[in-house]
Amino acid sequence: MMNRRSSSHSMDGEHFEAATVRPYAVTGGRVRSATSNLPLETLIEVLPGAVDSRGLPPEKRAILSHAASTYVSIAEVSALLRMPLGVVRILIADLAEDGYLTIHTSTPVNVHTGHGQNPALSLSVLESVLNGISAL
Amino acid sequence: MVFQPSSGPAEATAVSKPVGAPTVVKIVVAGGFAVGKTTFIGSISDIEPLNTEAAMTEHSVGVDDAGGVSDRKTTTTVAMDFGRIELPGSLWLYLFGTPGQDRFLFMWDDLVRGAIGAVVLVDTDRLEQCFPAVDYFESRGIPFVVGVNCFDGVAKHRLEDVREALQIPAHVPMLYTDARSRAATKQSLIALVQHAMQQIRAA
Repeated sequence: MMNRRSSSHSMDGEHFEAATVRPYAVTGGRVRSATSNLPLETLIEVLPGAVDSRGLPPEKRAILSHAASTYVSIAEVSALLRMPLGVVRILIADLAEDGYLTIHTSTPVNVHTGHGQNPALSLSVLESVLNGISAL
Repeated sequence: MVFQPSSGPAEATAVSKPVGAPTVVKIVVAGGFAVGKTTFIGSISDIEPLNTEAAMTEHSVGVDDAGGVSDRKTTTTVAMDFGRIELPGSLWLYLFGTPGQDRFLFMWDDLVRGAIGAVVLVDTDRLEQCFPAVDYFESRGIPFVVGVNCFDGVAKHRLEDVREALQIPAHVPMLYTDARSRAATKQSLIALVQHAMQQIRAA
């Protein structure tokens, strides 16, 4: 399992430089990918095999490092690394394709869109949400 | 469910990761500029509200000063604030604030996809600011509740008067709220989830 420490050598310096690069330079000029539609709350999980991130550009290593010890959403990656959402979506799709991380999309609640919904499942999730909020 | 980064060496494999990824749900917080969306999110979020940015390319065609036709793209940055609440049963609830300006309404489609619904915050001094939000959720059949934000804890208008002014249908819950108050925010979220459940049952 990769952890923050093992991947943080000179990461700060690289990260600082990365912030001065125009966003789409880090995606190789691409503005779309097959998964560029990933919801903002999509969680990523770094795979145990992703220990060796040498050779990856600093932005991708920063993502792997941020997600190393916990599930983290695309929105959080974007906010914490100060990278635009569109860029983060593409980098995460790349990392998933190359086997560094898994993408967890869960949209069990579908109140307003007619397709593919399962009312019983949505209701049971909402029930848990309701109980959870009430107990806060 | 909280788990810490492993403090041991990298080889320590079995970190206390929960079995399976958390179930993620989200609620959208909408309303006009400076109505208190971020305060609302911050009053209940486990994390300090974070800010994410999306770069938007706007395409405009026009006639420039020299009389030539210009065809240009400009990039605008749209910011969204969000927070997160961890609920029992490995449930993560995200609260996303909508970008304030009307001209970014198209971005809301991305935001509301898969959401439980929306809390529309209203400032009765600037009622018209929430029109786009109300229109948006109503026209798409997305469950929403209207929270009349009471600045300084003072309710200036009766809820029924606000309902009439906004033409909110009778089945849409309306309540007073105070974006700074965790208890009030909680009540708004509860009202929304209950409303969403009713909408599913009625379908």
